[in-house]
This record gives sequence, structure tokens and C-alpha cells, in this order.
Amino acid sequence: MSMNTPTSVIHDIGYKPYTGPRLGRRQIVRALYVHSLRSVFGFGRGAKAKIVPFFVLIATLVPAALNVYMSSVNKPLVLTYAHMTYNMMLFSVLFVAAVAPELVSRDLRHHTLPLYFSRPLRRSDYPLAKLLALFSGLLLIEVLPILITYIGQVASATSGHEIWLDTKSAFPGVFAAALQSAVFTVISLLIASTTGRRVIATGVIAILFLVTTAISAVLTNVVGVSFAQHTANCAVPAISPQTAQNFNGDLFGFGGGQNGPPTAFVSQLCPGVNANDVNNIDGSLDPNKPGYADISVQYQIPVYSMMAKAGGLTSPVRLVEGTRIWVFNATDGDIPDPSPIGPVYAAELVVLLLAVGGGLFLRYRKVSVS
Amino acid sequence: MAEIEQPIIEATALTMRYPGGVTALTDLTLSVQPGITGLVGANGAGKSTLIKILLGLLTPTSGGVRVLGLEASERGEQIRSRVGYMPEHDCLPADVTATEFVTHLGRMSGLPPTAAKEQAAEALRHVGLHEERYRQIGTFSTGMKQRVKLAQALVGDPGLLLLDEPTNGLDPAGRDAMLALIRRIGTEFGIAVVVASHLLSEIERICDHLVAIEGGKLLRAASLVSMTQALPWLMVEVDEGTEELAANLNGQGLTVRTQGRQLLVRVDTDPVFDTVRDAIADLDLPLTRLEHRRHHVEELFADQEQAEAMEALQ
Repeated sequence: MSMNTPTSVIHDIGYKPYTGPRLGRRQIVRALYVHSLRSVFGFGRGAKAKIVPFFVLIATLVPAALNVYMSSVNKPLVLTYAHMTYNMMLFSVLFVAAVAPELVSRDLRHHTLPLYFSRPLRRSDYPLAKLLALFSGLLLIEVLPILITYIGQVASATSGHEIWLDTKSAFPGVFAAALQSAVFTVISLLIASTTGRRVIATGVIAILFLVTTAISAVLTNVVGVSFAQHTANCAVPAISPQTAQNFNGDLFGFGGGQNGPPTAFVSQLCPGVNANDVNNIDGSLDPNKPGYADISVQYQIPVYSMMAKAGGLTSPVRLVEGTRIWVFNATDGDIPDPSPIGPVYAAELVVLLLAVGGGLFLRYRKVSVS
Repeated sequence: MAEIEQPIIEATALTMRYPGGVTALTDLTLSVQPGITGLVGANGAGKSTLIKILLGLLTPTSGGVRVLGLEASERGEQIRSRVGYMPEHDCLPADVTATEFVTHLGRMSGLPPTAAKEQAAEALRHVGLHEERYRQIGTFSTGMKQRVKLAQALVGDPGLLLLDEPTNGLDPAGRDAMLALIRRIGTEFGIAVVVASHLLSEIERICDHLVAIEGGKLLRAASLVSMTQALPWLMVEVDEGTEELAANLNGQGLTVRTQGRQLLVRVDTDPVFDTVRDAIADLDLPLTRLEHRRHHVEELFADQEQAEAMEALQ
């Protein structure tokens, strides 16, 4: 049996010049975009980098899943399309605060930029690829729950008209998601591009969004709001203490009468009454209409001063919501209707996007490559 | 042979003045041939500025540069796709593997995905990191990191490599290995290499040509062979009586130059060695060193700014 058959041979194959194709600048930018988009979700990076993106992704899917359930049992959505973006804002802040530094601060910290700029890329290509990557990542996060809700609604729709109505109401949601993604992207990337220290970038981004929103909330809800007293009279179905054991005696929420509806139902029974701000309900059984009670409801309507309306201008988040209310003439806003300064909201949003986005490009034009 | 080929780099009357008023380069004209070229100069001499202009990253105030036959101010993009650049400073992320990093930069050089992977593996193999290529860069030693920096410059088969202080921070063994690697790239791989360094003694070991700049001006450019062959010197060091010896040798018609505690004697006539030996014996001086210096490029520059420049170069 031969034992000296060589099992392996080492060849020095030397240097082989590369003769294959070379891609142009545009394709290189695309490669950088894809690479950055992957790192937005932590792909190609360690397990730690995946925690925040996937936590946010799952968190935003919770209301979407509830919505799908609600449509299957024909109940109102827990979070409507238009409210999705504004109400899930905290998750978007968390997302950009974690991801934007990952995209640009790392290259600053490790001084990797000279390696990019000594390659065919131009100065503006780098921020462009990063902007697009973060924007598409965040847009995906924000639009996905809207899309899932929409699919759930369509699946349980009974007529084409319902689908059409649903499509119409989903559009403002997508609009707000796109605007918020754009604003969050430019602001967080500009902040992250000023420092190589990721922790600081994350902190500053989170604080900026949260503090501006808080300032705006104070301006609107504390400083800029006053209440106007209103009284409404209406006849509501009476409830007998005998038939409704749980509602004994003080049925009228504030103790003024008897046999009336609980406060929470007043706004549904009396048109125009905002139940949240009901102060007093007074009334008695209707002598002419058996089974009904005549009640008088005193309630408050918040009146927003110009300062309250302008308060939203201090926060990127409320800027988006105000622009949505103005553009779609919406009455379901989470913030006071900015009218008549709706156009100011839209204008400030556009200026903000251009200025901050431009600042990012300027930043990379000036960055030193040594 | 090299002189017949088209120059890799041609700079004509290059002047670079920064907006702040700092003049980095003044009327610099030089041409670099294929092979390995050492770009020597003290810190602040304008080496990095020159490299940035070569990459098309800076536009010179006046004058023009052609790299690989392309005008740098207009075709920077094409130049950068064919030039590999190894920066002086640390430029490596700690938390990716060498393969991922070099592959990504291969993509950024314009290689298609599969080719980038292959070329990255090749480049890492050539710099001797084949075994370690799946390790995170943060776990590498300084020498290995320098090799990764070289690999990222090498990926995608550049026509020209610009290496800025490639031996920075390396121990003597690491320096030798790095220099041998550069020598191999310049000779076996057929890639033109420009090595910028402030350590003349180091890069003269591997270069075919030397370009020395000082204060943004060209000090001297020549092939190393012509420099060293033209000037054979004998270095003599005695513990005491250096002046006596110099005077004695001068008296015997030899060309003698003092360099610190050493005497450099030009070997232009045959009995120089005998003359020197006899002179030392006659004067009864304690001889500590007698060395035939083949490489002594320093003296080329000593003519100009003497001591200061000399110190910087060494």
C-alpha cells in the first residue's frame, strides 16, 4: 500500500490582475445605499445592532395587529390611519436615535471617510446614500402598520365603496408617515454627522425630538388654552334605577339629577357636547315624553389662542401633524387645528427639510480627508 | 528601461494655497515613473497635499497634474477608480471582519458583488492575512491593521498605489515585513507605488526612484541607482581627533565632509582605503567605525538645508 501519494500541493498562484467589469459612480452609490439600508436594520452588523430596529418594528405592528382584529369583528380601529404616525412617534424617535449614529458616526469615529472619498464617490454621494437609506428604513417602519391595517380592512370589507372610503382615509396616513420619515431622517443624520461618539449622537437626537415636543405641548395645553362655557339641552332616554341596578341615585355624573345617562355617554346622546369636558348635568324626567329625561349639560370647549396654534411650530413632530391637518382639512387632529396658520406649518416644514438636508451635504463637502 | 515608459504622475508648476493663506506647494514640477517611488519630506513638507491633489480631492491653485495619463482636475473620478490609497492615520472600524471591510471597499471601488468578494480575499492573501480574514479588525495588532489598510488599497487591482507613511507605528520587524511587501507589490505585481515617508533611511531600501520635497518645493528627484552610484562614500568615525583627521585627509587631496561625529570620504580614487587607514594609524586615533556606505542618500539633501532638514529626514 502506497503511503507517499501527495494529498495536497501548495501552489503560489501569484498576483492576477483584475480584468472584470468596473462599475460606474451611480452603481457605486447604489451599492452604498444597499449596504447602508442593510445596516439600518442591523444586517451585516452584530446582534446588538438588530435589537432596536426589530423592537421598533414589532412594537409598531401591535396596533396594526389589533386593527386587523377590530376590522374582522367590525369594530372601529384602535388607531386610525391618520393617527398612526403621530401616536407612534416615540418609536420613530427611538429608531432614528439608534440607527442614524450607526450610519454616519461610525465612519467619523473610525476615520473611514478618507477611504470613501479616495474612491470614485463624490462628496455629495455619501450623504445622499445615507439619507435615502435611513429614509427608506424609517418609511418602511411607519408605513407597514398602515399597510397591514389597510389589508385587514379590505379583507373584511363588504363592498367596493367601503374599500374606496378606506383607501381615501389611508392616504393622509401615508402622507404623514412620509413627511415624518423625511424630517426625522434629515435632522437625525445631521446631528449624528457632527460627532463620532455614538452615545452622544443618540442622546442629542432623542432629547431634541422629545424636548421640542414637550415645549410645544406646554405652549398648546398649558399656556395657550382657555375654556368657553356652553350649555346644551336635550332629551335623552331615561334609565330607571330599578332596571339598572348599577346606576342608582347619582346617575347624572355630577350629582345634579337622576335617571339620566352616565357622563361618558352624554356626547353620544347630545349632539355637540364634548363629554371629556362636561362640568355639570342637571335634569328630571320628561313629563310629556314617557321614558325620557330632559337634561341640561354644562360643558367646556377649549379655545386655543394663537400661541397654542403656533406652539406646534416648535416641534418637528407637531409640524408634520399640523401640516396634515391643514392639507387634508382634517378634524381628527391630535393637536389643535392650526388654522389660519396652516400654511406656516407647511412652509416651515419645507424650509426645515431643505435647510437641514442642505446642511448635511455641506457638512460632507467640508469634511476633512487627511 | 523605466525612463522610456509614460510617466505615472506628471505635475507641472503645481501651486497649492489654502484659503487660510497657507501655501502648501509652490511651483512643484515633477514626474514619477513606473516602479516604486519614494516621496520624502519632513512633516508639513506638502506630501499629503500632493497626494490629495493626485486623487483629485483638492484642486490646485494653479498648475496641472496628470495621473495615469488623466487630468486630475477633470477626471478625478476615473483616477480614483484606478488608484489605491492608504492613508497615514488609522481608518479601520473595529467591529467588522477584515473580509467584510475590504469587500465593502472593493464595492466602493466599483467591483461587482462577487468580484469584490474574490478580490478582497486575494488582497488579504497577498498581504498575509489569509488565515485571519474572518476575525474582527479590533482584535488585530498594529502590524495586521497596517496590512488591512494596504489590502483595502490593493483591492480591485489599482494601476497606482499611494501609500502615506505605511510603516507608521510598526516595530522593526513589522517595518521590514511591510517594506518587503511593498517591494513585492512594486516588482512582482507590476503596480506603480508611491510611498510617502519622512523616514528616508527606510524607504530608500525599497525605492527605484526618490522625490524629495521640502517646504512645498521640489528638492531633488532622481532614480536611486543614479544617486547612489554617482556618490560612493566611505564613512569614518573616530572617538577623538575628528578635525585632525579631516585636515590630514584633505591635505592628501581627498574630498572630506563632516557629518556630526562622522567623516565622509569620497571614494573617487583607488588608494582611498589605504590612505585613510594610514592616516588614522599615523595620527594614532581610536577608530570606532569604518564603513563603505552604498546607501547614503541623506548626503544628497545635506547640500541644501543642512542640519535641520537632515534631522527631519532621519
